[in-house]
Amino acid sequence: MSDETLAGPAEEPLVPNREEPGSRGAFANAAPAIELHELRKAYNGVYAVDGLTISVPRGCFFGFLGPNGAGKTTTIRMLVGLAQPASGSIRVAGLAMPEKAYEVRKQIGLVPDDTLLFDHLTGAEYLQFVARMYGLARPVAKERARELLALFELDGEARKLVGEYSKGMRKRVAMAAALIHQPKLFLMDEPFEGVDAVGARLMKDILLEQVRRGNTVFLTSHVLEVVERLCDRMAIINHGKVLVEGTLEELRTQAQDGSGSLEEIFVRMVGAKPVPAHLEWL
Amino acid sequence: MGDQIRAIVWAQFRTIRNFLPRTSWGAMLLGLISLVWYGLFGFAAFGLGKALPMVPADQLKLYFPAGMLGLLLFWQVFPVMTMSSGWSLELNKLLVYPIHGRTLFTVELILRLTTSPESLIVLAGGIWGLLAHPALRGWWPLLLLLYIPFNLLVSLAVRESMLKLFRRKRLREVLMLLIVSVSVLPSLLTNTSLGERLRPFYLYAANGPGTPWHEFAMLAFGGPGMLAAGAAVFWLAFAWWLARRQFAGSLVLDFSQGEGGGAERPRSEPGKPVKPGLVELLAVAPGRFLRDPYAALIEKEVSSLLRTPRFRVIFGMACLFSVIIFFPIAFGRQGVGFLATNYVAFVNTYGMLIVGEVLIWNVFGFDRRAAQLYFVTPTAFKQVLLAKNATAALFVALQTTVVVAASFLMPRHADPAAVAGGVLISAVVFLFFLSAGNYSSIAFPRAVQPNQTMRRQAGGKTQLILFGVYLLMAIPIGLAFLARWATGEDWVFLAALAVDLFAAGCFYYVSLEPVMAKGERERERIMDALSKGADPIGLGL
Repeated sequence: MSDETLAGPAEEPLVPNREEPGSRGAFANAAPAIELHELRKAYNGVYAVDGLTISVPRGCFFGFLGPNGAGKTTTIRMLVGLAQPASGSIRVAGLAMPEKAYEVRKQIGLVPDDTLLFDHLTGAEYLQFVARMYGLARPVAKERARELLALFELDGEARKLVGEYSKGMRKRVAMAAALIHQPKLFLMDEPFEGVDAVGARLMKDILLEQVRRGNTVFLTSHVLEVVERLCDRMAIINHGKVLVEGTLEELRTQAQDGSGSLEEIFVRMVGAKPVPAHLEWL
Repeated sequence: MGDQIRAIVWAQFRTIRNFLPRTSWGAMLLGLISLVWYGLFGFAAFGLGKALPMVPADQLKLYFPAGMLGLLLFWQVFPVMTMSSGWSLELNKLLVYPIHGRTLFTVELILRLTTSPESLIVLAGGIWGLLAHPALRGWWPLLLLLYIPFNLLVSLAVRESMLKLFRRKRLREVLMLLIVSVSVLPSLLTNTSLGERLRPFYLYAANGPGTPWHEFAMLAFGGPGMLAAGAAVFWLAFAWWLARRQFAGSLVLDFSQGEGGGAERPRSEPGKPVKPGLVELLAVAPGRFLRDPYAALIEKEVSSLLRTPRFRVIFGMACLFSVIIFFPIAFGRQGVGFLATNYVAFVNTYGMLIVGEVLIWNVFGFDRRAAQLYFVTPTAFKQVLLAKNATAALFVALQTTVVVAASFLMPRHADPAAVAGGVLISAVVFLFFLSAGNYSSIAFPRAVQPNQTMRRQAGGKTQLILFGVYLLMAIPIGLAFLARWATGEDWVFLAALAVDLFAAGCFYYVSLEPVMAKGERERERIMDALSKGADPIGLGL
């Protein structure tokens, strides 16, 4: 893997010195990476996403947070065109979805939930397949697949099928697939779930390097400490609505929590539920 | 476009290659069965190729369009009836990539070839026969090849329409009943006088000017007039438009629905108890007579099965399809026959084969995530397997009740001894099936996607085991029939079947212990096997 493609994982600090998102390089004056306006999506008459409005600047590491069922995965699925919004608009890099879906998808690197992998392919075959879907020539696809497998330490068992991978290995191969075509925007649904500390560190370093180059990361995670350390901006949603959005400082202001951690802000905004008194056996 | 198509085909080829070595025996058996099946059609095509040149020209012009109509019906309706629509793209996995809709459409259209290869073989025989016909000149019969893209396009439109209808709650059950009703037609036509009465209408429809089957046939006969050529072009364009329109609908389908990604309508006010529905009432009923963990396990099995649309459809088919499909055969023109006398046994066995993949020979595949739980909770594997067997018995008993009730509604042959014999045979068959099913569920577990698959055949090795079981149980059941034939007494027959039932029970009991030991021993392999199952192209959706 050439240095131009991926960051070296080793001695870099976890959070490098970064400029203000949206203010750097060639993308400074470009359209935001993601613009969601009054986005709505209902299932069985209940809104999973209810009037969501978010703007993610280019070159931003954006944390998209919320409790289970808040609408995070549905939003990502709408961003890639797997779900159709009931109303509202989506623009990715200035391109309207789903009208410009083809162009949008070319720019996206997706770490999906677990269901979108092909279980009966080996890791190398899966990566080559994904690369070819993005139009990479076969020799390039093969070479990059080999390099990425080595980088993510998945090259030890060449004949192992993706279906035989552990959860962490599946996430790593999904991450490798998201990187293989050098996208401008990364959509990551719980990318660190089940990944060991070394693997997670590698993934974080790579993502930070991508952001440093002006690419955008849109990340969902329940590990709030990680989000707090990585993300420039974040939004907390619940019941499909944005509760607060901004930098950590802005979130503290909005949540009226002067020096609280992201976890404290999250719990305050989403609403913590104490254990009821009659459940004393707990 | 070409690169992406090649990549998809390449990935599918690798998928099959990665998969096949693990089931080499099963693959060989399936290959052998396929060879026989397609060999039969090849033989029919050969016969057609030889026979057509001998048909007088006027007869050919009358009956060939009828054959073309029959071919179209077979091509389009047979896959729907058998719930088998061949290979198809896993659009929910491919839509995240930058692939043009027209690329996906092209691949999906090519994959339609797998829906009904039998039709292609027969059509090839027809073309060969016409080419050799002395009254027809030139290469005009080769224009019949245009009937292939026409049928592929129609097939794609039909499949997309069916899938959309099947996604709608309740409508899919109604649709299933309609399909069942249609599927009984061939039996009705061949076994009753209805076929003879409808023949003139069929011939009239087949020779209707402007219809695709008639106009494509006219093209093949040579010297096409403007009408035939224009109509063929029109039908091709219409089929293309229809297929494109239906497929475009699939491209904007919502794949996140039902995957836990969104909110669900609450069933009751928070804090208030949920009023039990019919499913809950049915699920808790068997548990009232049993202790935990059996009661809890059966309750879970029954409720989760009844809440799965695919199971509701196949169980409905087992109850109704089997009754309806055998009705004209058993009570047609032939009157009393072996099939009519043993109606309950045949129908019940057929029903068991329909639900077998879920309830009997791959019991962990349908709700594979639950299998993980069974291995981590302090529940013995034996208890889980017995509970699954009891659940299967419950559903087969329900099915038997429907079949017996139906047999009494057909008063002509429903004598109690025949019904009792049928029920006993069903019980024997069920116990043999269970014994084999327990083994195959543990030795060859396979993941089944309830939301994607309408019907999936048992694996090759499982089919091999089933074949062995058929042979095995044919001996005691055959002996009971022999005893009745020798004595002419029903009670001897019933007594012999009672002995068979005892023997089948012993067989089941003896087979249980080694199977359970194997399950305990190989839990890791079972979990591995159940966690697989995602390809770029779905085989047999």
